[in-house]
Amino acid sequence: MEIIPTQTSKHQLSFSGNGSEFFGILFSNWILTVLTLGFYYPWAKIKRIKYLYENTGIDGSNFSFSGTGKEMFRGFIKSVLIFGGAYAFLIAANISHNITLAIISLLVFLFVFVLIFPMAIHGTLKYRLSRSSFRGINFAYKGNIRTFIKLYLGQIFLTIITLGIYGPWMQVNLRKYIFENARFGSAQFKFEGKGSELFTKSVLGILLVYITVFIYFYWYVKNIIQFYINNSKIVLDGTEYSFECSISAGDIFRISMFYLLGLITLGLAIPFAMVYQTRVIMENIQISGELDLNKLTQAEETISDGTGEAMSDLLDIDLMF
Amino acid sequence: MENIFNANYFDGISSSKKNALVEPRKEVIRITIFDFEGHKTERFWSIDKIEKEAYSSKEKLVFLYNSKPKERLEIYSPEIISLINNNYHYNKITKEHFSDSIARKGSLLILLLVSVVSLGFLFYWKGLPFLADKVANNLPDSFEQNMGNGIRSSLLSSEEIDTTKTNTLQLFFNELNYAPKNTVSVYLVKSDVVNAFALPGGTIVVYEGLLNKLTKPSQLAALLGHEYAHVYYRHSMRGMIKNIAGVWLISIYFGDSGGVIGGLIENANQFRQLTFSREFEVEADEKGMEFMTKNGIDNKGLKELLQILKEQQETTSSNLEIPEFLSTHPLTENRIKNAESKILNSSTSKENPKLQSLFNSLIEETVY
Repeated sequence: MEIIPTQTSKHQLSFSGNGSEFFGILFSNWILTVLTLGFYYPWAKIKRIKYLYENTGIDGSNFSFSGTGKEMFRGFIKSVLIFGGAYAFLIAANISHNITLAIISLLVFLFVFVLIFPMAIHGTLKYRLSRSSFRGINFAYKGNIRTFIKLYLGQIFLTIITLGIYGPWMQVNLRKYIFENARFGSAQFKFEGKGSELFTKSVLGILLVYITVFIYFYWYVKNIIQFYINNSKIVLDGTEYSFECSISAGDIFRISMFYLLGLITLGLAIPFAMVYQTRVIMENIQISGELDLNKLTQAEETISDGTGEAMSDLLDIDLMF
Repeated sequence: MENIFNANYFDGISSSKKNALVEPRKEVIRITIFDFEGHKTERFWSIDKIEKEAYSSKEKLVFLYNSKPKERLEIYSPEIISLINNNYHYNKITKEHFSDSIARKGSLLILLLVSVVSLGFLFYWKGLPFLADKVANNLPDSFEQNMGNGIRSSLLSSEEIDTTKTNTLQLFFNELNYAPKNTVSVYLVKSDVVNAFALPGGTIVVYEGLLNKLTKPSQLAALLGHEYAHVYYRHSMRGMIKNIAGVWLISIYFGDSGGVIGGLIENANQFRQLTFSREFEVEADEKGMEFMTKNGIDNKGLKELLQILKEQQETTSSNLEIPEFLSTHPLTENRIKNAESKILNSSTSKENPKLQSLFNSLIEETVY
């Protein structure tokens, strides 16, 4: 039994999962997915997310995830229909050799294709956060989809015309929008990272990686992770508390070696690598200041749309929160 | 008092942690909650609305209550589970989802692994060829034609066709009467290479290197019979589909759908070096001989052809140069023996002077 103080100057995230349990889950996920020819996949995904959430905690309590396979499955069907429909239209129009129809179908497809990314990100965030909670207090995402689409497309456009140089500013702007629209009961979030800072870190980092023939890579990854986390804050009752990341380059190195082991063992060690990674990252994140986690109050109603989550899955977008 | 357990209670309205005592009973769980001043409140949770969080650890159980707002209990005594199971049978709460039982039980895992792997193998070994054949046989002819024509143009674009001899060879083939009129085109390639192959849709390509090793028309007839049998049985199409299906199955495991495209490309290139399975070869040998017999040609030709090639392999193996034909059409003693056993009495075969003269003009030396 743990002694749980109500106030400390630093709250530490914890992770209690272990590799063999996770292996069992991923393995049974894989078997059932194969046996059901993929049908089981939404349920498998829910289990994986649940395991990681319910083993992550702070201040003696763990997070909860209340998403269901059914919701995920419905979302999956919807996203298949949207994407598949646009694609089918494209193919049908091309087979019909009707030029106007083909052009229209191409435009529709491009339209869907371009919009799918921001829509999937938005939808995933809305779904995942609404299904996440801590001590009964729900998370939420207050972002507006039109605003986000405009922001997203604008940022991409700027990145393209500057041949990628604008990239770090884009990352920062998107991250800021998303993070600051997340809610945790009565708490809010702030992101104070600057594009210029990320730009300098990235450029210097990549240069050093080249010069040191890749050895610097692990410090580079650490710097980027710390940039994101150390510039994040949680705001409760008017006071700001900063997140801190104490991860080391050695940790990053060990994590990548673990994944390499996963590759060598033809995937068998990957669940262990994932658990190791989650534990190392979580246990290196702290919240500084006298944040009283007893003081959060409930704010949000839940929504029931799993489409966004399934769509981002289709496109393999990984959001590191 | 073994019935009462310590826990932390959360009311779903704020995140504040309250101490609580939990007492499981027959239809309900009685919860006594202490606030910060020590005042007590009581809650009763009915069993049918309680849910246990799946991955709460052995040291801490989490019970959720289906109320608005959702209340939560974090119980630090795992003994409550055995109490519940022994005395109250809260099956809905304590029952494990079947996938978690699978996850937990190591032996079940191994058993499932073995059965999945063997099912996979079985499917790959038997199911896939079966399905591949079904698909290949149901492909429209036009598809095969187009595919074959495409492959032929790309393969032959880098080769020099002997147009005169190609015409002669075509006449020779037509005279054999194996195939319905105008369904097969044969080509003769000017090259030292000792090879011949068939493409989907009815194209047969023969290289001069191989042609010049033959001594009798019946041997050429055997070669063409063998190649035509490949066309007849759509072996190349079936082989290609089986190959792609294999790549597809593997890419499902590794989650790489791009592999199918890669497989298609790989296959187009492999037409020069098709790895025909032994079954296909035996099938082609036998059908080829059948064609020959039906048209009254001396079917010793196949055996002789195979022997010529075998000698060729033996004499050139010292130069480490295996005739290409042999690397793609594995020559085993069995094939020769098989060919021998199927030879009918030569009295049923007749000399065909037209074939002989066409053959003579084919093996007329062209100066290189």
